[in-house]
Formats: sequence, C-alpha cells, structure tokens
Amino acid sequence: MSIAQGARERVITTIGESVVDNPVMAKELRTRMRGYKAFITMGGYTLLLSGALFIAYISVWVMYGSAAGGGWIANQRIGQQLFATLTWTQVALLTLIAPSLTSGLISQEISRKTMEMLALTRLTAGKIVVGNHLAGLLYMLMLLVCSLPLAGVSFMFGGISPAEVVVTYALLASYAFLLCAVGVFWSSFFSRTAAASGISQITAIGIFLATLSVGGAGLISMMYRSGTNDPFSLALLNPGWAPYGALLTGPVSGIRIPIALAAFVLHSMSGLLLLLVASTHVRYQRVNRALSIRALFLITTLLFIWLGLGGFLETVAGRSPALADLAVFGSMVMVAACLMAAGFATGEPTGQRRYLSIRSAFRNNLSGGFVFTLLWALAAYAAMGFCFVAATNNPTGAGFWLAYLKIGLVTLTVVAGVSAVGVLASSIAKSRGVAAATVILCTVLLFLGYVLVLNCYQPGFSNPHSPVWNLAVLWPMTPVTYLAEGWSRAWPKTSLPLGASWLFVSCIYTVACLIALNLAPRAAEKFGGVREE
Amino acid sequence: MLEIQNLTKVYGKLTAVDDLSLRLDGGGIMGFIGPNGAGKTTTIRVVATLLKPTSGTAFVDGIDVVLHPEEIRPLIGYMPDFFGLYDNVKVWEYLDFFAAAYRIPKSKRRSTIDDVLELTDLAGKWDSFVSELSRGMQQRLCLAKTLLHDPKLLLLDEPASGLDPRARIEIKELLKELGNMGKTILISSHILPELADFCNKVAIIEQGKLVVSGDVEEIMEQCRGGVVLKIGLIDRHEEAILFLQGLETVGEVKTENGLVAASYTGKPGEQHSVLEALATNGFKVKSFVEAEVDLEDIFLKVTRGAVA
Ligand SMILES: Nc1ncnc2c1ncn2[C@@H]1O[C@H](COP(=O)(O)OP(=O)(O)OP(=O)(O)O)[C@@H](O)[C@H]1O
Ligand SMILES: [Mg+2]
Repeated sequence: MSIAQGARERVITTIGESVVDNPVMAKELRTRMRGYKAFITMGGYTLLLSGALFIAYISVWVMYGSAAGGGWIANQRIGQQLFATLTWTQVALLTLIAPSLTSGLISQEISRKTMEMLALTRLTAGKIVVGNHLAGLLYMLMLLVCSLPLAGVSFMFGGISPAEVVVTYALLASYAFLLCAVGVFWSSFFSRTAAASGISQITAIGIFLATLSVGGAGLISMMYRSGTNDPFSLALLNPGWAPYGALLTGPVSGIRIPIALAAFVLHSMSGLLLLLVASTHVRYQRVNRALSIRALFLITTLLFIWLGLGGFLETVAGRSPALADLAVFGSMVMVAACLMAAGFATGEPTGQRRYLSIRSAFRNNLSGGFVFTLLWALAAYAAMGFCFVAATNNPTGAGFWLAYLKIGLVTLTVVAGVSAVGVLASSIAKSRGVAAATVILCTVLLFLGYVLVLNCYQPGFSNPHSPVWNLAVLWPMTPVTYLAEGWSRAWPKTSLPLGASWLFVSCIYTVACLIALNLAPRAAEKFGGVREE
Repeated sequence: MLEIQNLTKVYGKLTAVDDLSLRLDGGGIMGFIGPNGAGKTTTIRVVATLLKPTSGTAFVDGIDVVLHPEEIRPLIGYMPDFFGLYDNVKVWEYLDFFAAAYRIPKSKRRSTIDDVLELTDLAGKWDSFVSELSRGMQQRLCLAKTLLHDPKLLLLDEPASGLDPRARIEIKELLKELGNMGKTILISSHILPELADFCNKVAIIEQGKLVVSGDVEEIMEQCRGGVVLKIGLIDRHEEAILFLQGLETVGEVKTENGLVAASYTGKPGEQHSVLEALATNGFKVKSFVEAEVDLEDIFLKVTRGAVA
C-alpha cells in the first residue's frame, strides 16, 4: 500500500516540479495527494459523472429508444446527449470544486502564521500566488483527465467529432483556470478562510449563472431567429454550452471569430488578471504591478467589449444598431467605470497631486487611479463607438454621432465626479474598504435613486409642473435617455430644457469633481486618510 | 552587525517601543530581556522586516531594514514566539520546502537538511509528521528551519517558552553551540537565569524603553551597589540581627529563607571582620557566604519601579 501510495505521490510531485519549480505548489500537491483522500475524490468524481451519464442514457433510451426499435441504439443523438450531460455535470462540479481548492490556501497561511515565515524566504509574492493556483489547477485537471474515459463512451455513439471533444476539454480547463484564480484572489484578501471560501463560492456561482444565461440567449437566438444563423461570440463563456457548437464561428464587427477561442482567451486573461492582483495583496511583500495589472485590465475589458458588443450588434440584436443601443451601452460603460473607481481611485496618496498626469496612471499600485479610471472610461467608450462603426449595418448620420459625442461627454464627467469622490473618501476614511464602499454607494444612489424620481412620473396622474422633476437634471441617465430617440418615455416639465441636459449634467459633475479633488489634500491633512500598511 | 537606532513603534495610543537604540557586534549573543508587553516581540519583528516602525530604523550589516527589507531577509533567521506548522507534512518535507524556498540548490538540499537535523538532534525524526512531534521537538524543528540558509544574525523570540525544564536545557545547549559556531544572536526572554550563562550581552527593556544594556559583567558591576552577606546561625536569630544592625560596617539586615542577610558597607575585602565580631560575641555561626548577585537580581532591581 505505502509503496503504491509513495509512487503516486512521487509521480505527481515530479510532474508538478517539472512543469514549474515552485516549492509552494510541490508542498500543496504533496499533502493533497497523501493518503486516500485524493483517491476517494477521484473515485467520487468519476462515479458521479457515470451516474449522470447513466440517467441520461436511460432517459434518451426512453425517448428515442422505441422509435429505433429498442435494443442497442447507437445513433448520433445519443452521443450528443450523453456528451452534453457529461459536460454540464462537469461544469457544475467544477464550479463547486475549483474555487474551494484554492480559496483557503493563502488565508490559511495567514491565520496559521506561516505567511511571515514564507515572506522571509526568497519566495516572491508571485511564486506564492502561482504555486497555490497551480496546485489547485493541477488537481482539477487531474479530475478532468479522470473523466476522459467517460467522454470516450459518449464518443462511441458518434455525433461528436474528436475536435469537439478536444475543444470542449480545453474550455473546461480554461474555465477551471479562471475559477481557481477566483479562489486565490479572494484568499489573498481575507485572513479568515471561511470568508474567503464563501465569497469565492458565491463569485463562482455568479460566473456560472451569468455565462449560462449569456450563452443560452446567444445560442437560442441562433437557433430560433430567422435571418442570420450565427452564434453570439460570447456564447461559450460557460463551457457547458460547448457540446452545442464547439467549432462554430461567430461574426464580430464583420470578422468571423471561433467562439471557443473567444471564451478561452477571455477565461485565461481574466484569470491571469486576478492572479496579478492577488500577488500585490500577499502580506509582508511589496510588489508594484501597477503597469501590468492596469494594462491587462484595459486590454481584457476592451477585448470583452469588442467581442461582446461587436458580436451582439451582429447577432442577437439582429438589426441595425439604433440610438437606443447607444443609451443602453453608454450607460453600461458609465456604471462600469463608476464601480471600477471603487477599486482604482481609492487609496490614492492624496498628498501628491498627480491626478491628471497620464504617466502616473501606470506607475504605482495606489496612485494615479483617478487618471486611470478616466482613461479606461474614455477607451471603453471609444471601443463602444468602434463597434458601432464596424458593425455590418452601421448607423451613420450626423444625429447619431452628435448623440454619441454628447453622451460621451456626460459619461466622462460623471465618471470623473464619482472617481473624485473616491479620492476624497480615501483621504478621509481610514480603510480603503470604507472608501470603496462610499464609491459604490454613490454609484448606486446616482443610478438607482434617480431612476425612481423619473419613474414616479406618470403622465395624467402626476403633476408635470412639480419642481421635483428638476432633480432629473442630477441624474446622469437623463441626457443619455433623452438623446437616444426610440427610448420612449413621457417627460415631465422641467425648468431647464431637457434637450440641453447633457450640458447641465456635464457641468454639475465637473464642478463636483473639481470640488472633491480640491478638498482631498486638505481632508487628508486633517483626517490622515487611507495609509499603505 | 545589528544596530537599532531610535526605534519607535506606536499602536494607536500605545507606544510599544519608545526611542530604543541598541548595538550588537558580530559574534555577540545578546539577551533581550523584559517583562510581558515590554516590546520585545515588536522590536524583533521590526528587525525581521515584518513590521514597519513608526519612526527610527535598524541596520543589519549596515543595510537599512525599512528601506531594503528584501536584502535583509537572507541575512537573518527569525524564529517567532508563536509559529505555525503545516499539518500533514513530514519533517524532511517541511525542511525541504523551506530549503527550496530559500533557493538552496537541489544538489545541496539533502546535506543541508541532514546538517540542521543533526544540529537540532532531530535526525531520528526525519520521517515523522510534524504535527506528531512534541512541543519541544517542534520548537527545535522551527529552529532547524531558521538555520537552513545559514543566516548571520539569529533573532529568536522566546525560543524556550512553553517547554519543560529538560527541553529548556536542550534548547540552551543548542544555542550555546550556535554561539560557538560564531553566529550573532539576539534572544528574547523574560526568564533570566536561562540566558545568564551563555549571553555575553544583555539589554533590558521595560515599557518600550531601554533600561540598561551592555556586557553582562559590566552590568553586574553597575548594579551591585553593595555586597550582601548571608549568615546561617544555629540559634539566637533575633539577637544576631540586633547585634549586626549595631555594627558600623553593616547596613540593612533582614531574614531570608532562615538566613540572615546583611548588606556589607565596609571596606571591600574585609568582610571577615563581621564574622569575627559575631564569633567573639558568642553567636554560633553555621555558614557565612557572600551572596552571588545574578542576572535575576539585576532584573528585579532594575525593573522594580515600573512593575510595582
Ligand atoms: N498588533 C498590535 N496592535 C496593538 N497593540 C499591540 C500589537 N502588538 C503588540 N501590541 C502591544 O504592544 C506592546 C508590546 O508588545 P510585545 O508583543 O512587543 O511585547 P513583548 O515584550 O514581546 O511581550 P511578551 O513577553 O508577552 O511576549 C504590548 O502592550 C502589546 O499589547
Ligand atoms: Mg513577545
């Protein structure tokens, strides 16, 4: 027994060490492979999958079996059905298992007081993060490998090609990569393992559900809509959908992109981004990765916008983009940038007024976040514009582009205002979390609070002349909604002309931004603000 | 080797370390002594680059610990007062992990691990699980880990705490050996006699402030003040006390553990006059010794005010 066990340990460890010389990974793998625990997990995993396959087989047999004359029916439908069942079960298991493999590792080092011992060695923060991530990922990949024989079973029935199996497994692997990174990411933020695990699990389930619905909508629209028969470019972000179209290509801005590749690249890039951020949070180590984190963040999000919006305009929308789309996506960029400010524009050393220097946007983990948020909003909004231009049926006309420019101005000034609040909050609050929460609260109030104000207006019931409606001028969405014709809404009377609301809103938020930025250094002097520990 | 300059660490309203300056030359073994909460751990963690001081700094080998923590880390071996151990890991795996983490080349790892196991007397335990070792063995294992990369400066935070007397002696022997190997050692403790016989320097800290520091002998000299004579009598204790108090060369007199303790204020080297006076007055003297002033007495003497 101990010989076999020792051999297994040695084999796995050697494989691990030859992939990358990382002591953290070697140690984690070694302890994880010890004893029967790993063996039981592997057995349980394949058993579960076999059970799912068996049930699927029975149900398919009941449905189609009699038509085929009963007995051993080997038609393509069964092959596809079985492979889909296998993949969905694996995605569900992966969503539950992958983050939990890594979410405890870094937080445990802290609560067990071993992190300080690691910090004094020559292990870098990057190696600690990568080692923990790889330990989880390799274990997960081992489980995936265990399921290959079962994939072979469904393969026997036909209906799926070897290429489809390979692509599906590649997507499962990249999905596991992302989810393990989610675990490492949260683990680097919390010293309590329970908190890290809980949030990792919630995040993983959130990713699962979001990608599930995006893929569902993207594929269903392909199947049932007349006109184009193209899948949405982001349909395979959830690899559970892979058996339905692993090898398909989808149009993005007039180019055809393999949708599996899009998902694979986005999984990998976002996973990498999470790992990079995690490595700046490893205790007792100073790492400055502002440049790589911010650059990767920018590239990943722009790619996401391009693939998502570019694909959407060509497939799901199924019509030439209208002004209403501008309102929807413009406001998405706005909300995203405001929420982003919570992460980037807080904790900034307010003593140094480098708010507007572009170089500082990539220089330090904390400084330059304000500029970076603005840069990001600008780039994202420009990417959005590009998707509209490059769409096959692109909407031209002076009206469209004038609205685009006005909404752009509103977007930038609103984002500047909210980020400046982040800067101000972090020069008052002691902890960065409080500052970030302020920014998020501010964003929620701005976008939700005023939705209520306008939605209270019921033509025929409300008094259209009430001065309350003037508050609408504070709502960033007013000009966006108003400028996007086809966004039908009955407007109350306001003292300020709604057609010029873009100008008012921009001015209000610019002034708010300037006030907040000017108050920040004084507030920092008085309250101290967030300090790097 | 180690120089602490005006180190101050403030936690909220509490000043844990207050303007502390210390020097320890290469090869020295310094006992860093103070009661609970004096700021020993705080000071050591600053030197170990794990804590940022509020002001002041420390230098190891001339390198600033605040400015260049990465360069300090290979030079020091820090053993924390409370250390964590991985479970489900064997002794050699534990050491192998840290050896790899210290980037000791693979070819040398085995012999390095054998060396430290030998030194810490754990060679027989190399294949045991870390969690199954006794507390004393775990302590030694942690020390073995600390020695892997052959650090110049050892920072040991209460390495003997929580050990039974026997394990304490073993740790003490081990530290003596390290001292003989020429390592510079800063070792904290609040249990004094343990350090007395192998430290050549002492620093006493109290409420974050340095009370006294220097060579062990020097400090003993400084703190001695007067010689205490311990006199054992067969009977007539009360009378003897009154008699001694009447002598010119004797100051305060009290009873301690059945012995009469008289502080001698006369000329050095003429303590025998007291014995002669007792004898001529018919007191039956059983024993007559000059009390050794040890580190513990110094410690109590120096810290008396603040503790009370
Ligand atoms: N993280 C912290 N936050 C707040 N106060 C702290 C912190 N760490 C230590 N202190 C305080 O600083 C003072 C010095 O603590 P320190 O641990 O350095 O003492 P010590 O000399 O090592 O004591 P002991 O002999 O008990 O180990 C104590 O009063 C302690 O309460
Ligand atoms: Mg202590």
